Amino acid sequence: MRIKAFSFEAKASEPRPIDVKVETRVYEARRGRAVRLSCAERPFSLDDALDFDLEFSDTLQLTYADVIHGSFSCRVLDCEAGGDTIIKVLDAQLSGRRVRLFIVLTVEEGDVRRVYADRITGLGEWRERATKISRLASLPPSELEAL
Amino acid sequence: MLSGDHMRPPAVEEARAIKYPEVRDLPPEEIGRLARSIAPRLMPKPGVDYKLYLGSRPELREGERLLSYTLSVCPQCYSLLVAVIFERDGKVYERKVCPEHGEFEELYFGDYATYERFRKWQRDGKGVWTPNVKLEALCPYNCGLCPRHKSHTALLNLVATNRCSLRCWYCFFYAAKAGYVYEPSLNHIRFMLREARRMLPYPAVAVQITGGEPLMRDDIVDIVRIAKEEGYKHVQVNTEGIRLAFDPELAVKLREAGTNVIYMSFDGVTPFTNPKNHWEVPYTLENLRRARLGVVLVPTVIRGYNLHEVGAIIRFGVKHADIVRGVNMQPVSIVGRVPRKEREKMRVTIPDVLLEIEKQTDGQIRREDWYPVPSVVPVSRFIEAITGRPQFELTTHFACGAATYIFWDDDGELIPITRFVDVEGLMQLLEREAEEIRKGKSKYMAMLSVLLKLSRYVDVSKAPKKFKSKRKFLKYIYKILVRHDYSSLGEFHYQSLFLGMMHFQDPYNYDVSRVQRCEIHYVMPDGRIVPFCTFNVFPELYRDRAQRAFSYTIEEWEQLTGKKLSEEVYVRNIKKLIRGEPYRRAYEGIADVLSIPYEEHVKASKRFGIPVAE
Ligand code: SF4
Ligand code: SF4
Repeated sequence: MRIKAFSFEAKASEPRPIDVKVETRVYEARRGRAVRLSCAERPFSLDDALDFDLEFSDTLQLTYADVIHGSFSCRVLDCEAGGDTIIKVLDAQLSGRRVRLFIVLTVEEGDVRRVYADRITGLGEWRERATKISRLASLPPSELEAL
Repeated sequence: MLSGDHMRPPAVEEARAIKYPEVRDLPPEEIGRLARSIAPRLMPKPGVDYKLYLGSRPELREGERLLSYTLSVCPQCYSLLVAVIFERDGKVYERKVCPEHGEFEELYFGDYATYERFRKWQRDGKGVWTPNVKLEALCPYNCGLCPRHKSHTALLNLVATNRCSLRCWYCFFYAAKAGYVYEPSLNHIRFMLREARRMLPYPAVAVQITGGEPLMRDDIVDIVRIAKEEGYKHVQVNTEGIRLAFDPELAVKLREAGTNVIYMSFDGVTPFTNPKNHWEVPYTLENLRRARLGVVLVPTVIRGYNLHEVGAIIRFGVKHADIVRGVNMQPVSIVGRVPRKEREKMRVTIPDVLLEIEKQTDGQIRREDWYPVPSVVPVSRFIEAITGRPQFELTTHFACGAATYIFWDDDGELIPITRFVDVEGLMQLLEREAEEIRKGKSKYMAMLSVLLKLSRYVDVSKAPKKFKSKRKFLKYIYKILVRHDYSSLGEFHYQSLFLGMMHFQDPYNYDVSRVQRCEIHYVMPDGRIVPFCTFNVFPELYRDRAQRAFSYTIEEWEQLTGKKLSEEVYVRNIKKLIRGEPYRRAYEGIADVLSIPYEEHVKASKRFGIPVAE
């Protein structure tokens, strides 16, 4: 199953200042361990815009319509997954502030479902999030913290 | 909103999705299930309703300075385009090029300095955590609300009917012209209201019942009652006010059912600038006064038509401030195919209206007295920091709207709140204190700190005489800002006049970054919640398609109600209206309407499309 992810930098001043850098790593859960997937990289194209919105509209509250305001450079990661639970780790710098966000996907009969995504505008306590993510990703919290 | 020729037939001619008479009496949950199952079929269709032309950015020309790029649409085919926003000769413009229909350039904001001043206040909301649709298309063709949307609903619009007894020349929406009747049943309305109430992180708390003309519905009072039952704190009814002019009981019933305010079209102080309801407004105000039901006047401002009367409209509001709660101006939004030269004749933007207000009030209300809508976000953020709960926030795009409050002295001098309150300093204080709380400062210390510092931001010596008691005024401000006390806010409104401005978009100046932040939404009969500026800017794709799907044929509706649609036409009795004492009193000191010959009155009404009883 191919999983798409994005690493990008965006800067804009209107309508509000944006200064974002995101590095994404993609893992799959295998018997209680997180195994990093190898991903092919390619430049962003317009066909990726919808997937970009899917990935970041809730997590970072950022959409293609936002990044078009200023400068935007983006690498698309196409990752090959064999397992049925995928974890994306988004290391983001938002105007210098570092924050780590998680997305959990499950694969069922060829269908990818996004079962969890951290939301920058409603980020709860880490312990609470870790419990939830670790249950959905079938990974012990210690494994999550090591990612 | 002004519509030119409708640009094209609906891209997809949707048959009615259901036979509405057969489902109208279903319980709300069942109508809801049915509605949600129909919604996906009604979504705009890529390649059919619009195309994507995002490959290139428009060039800048000599003398133009880049401000930003954004997404916009082709006014002719709705295709999504990249637009450039730039400054030229102190004004802000938008330009885009459609490969099929060529270049479009439009004034975006009439004064660059105001644009910059407003831009500083942009704050974004927390998004919508309970989207009504999946993310399947680019914005604005995925409404809604989709997971991208940045702001919660601040004002929900619910269209109660597309019937109207007026036949305004520019309107294509009313039932007789549309060829069907859209009039959701009470159960259906309950479902729609519930859809917006389940929104997180902040559910809708304010609703506007609109139309067509909502007062055409005999059960309008029940609709207001249902909105209250469903938890809406603020209910307003948007009307041209004519039925209220002749039915004093209705005003009382509306207030008793829970209507907070009437939102009434009012385009000017003469029959020539306000042929829609000039003659009836004095009687409507009398009846609202008796019913103790407040009203907001809503002028649509058009260059070359009524821009020269914006000052007089404000003075009219002040004259009737015992019942008029605010004046909310709307610079014209040009929907439909209108040639550039024609558009330029009509086009006004927020700074243009602000400048005219400054001129027409002899500098009493200056441009600097206005702040963009998101400037009040620090108040919400401070309260959120104190309560730990998400708050109602006004996070629209800075170019969408502006507001101020004015007061007045007995000699008639208008005093904007900014003359005696340092709004900017106060907002910065609240922002700082909210940040301190987030960093661990005690909430009580923060509240105390605000209370102690508040007086630094208020200069009571410049306030209207009624506020010469500094303590009293500070108490107000503290209760509103810190305690978020609704009754203090109400009292504040009684002492002042709210002046607002909202420039609804049109396809010529469209900016996706504005609509993504929109807070004025419509709930559609299929349960989708759609920003005002997609609902009305792309009527064929949203408003008309959804309403048609849940409509009656005219015959069905006539059979159901025993009424005749063609007989619902208002005929104005100008002779009688201008003879009445309320008419003379209402405009006295504002405009010399009594010297206008009767024939001119009649001409003005007829030209607009409203017949006159001779
Ligand atoms: S306007 Fe809002 S709801 Fe509509 S597509 Fe854009 S982000 Fe989504
Ligand atoms: S209705 Fe239009 S103008 Fe008003 S906030 Fe929404 S997008 Fe902006």
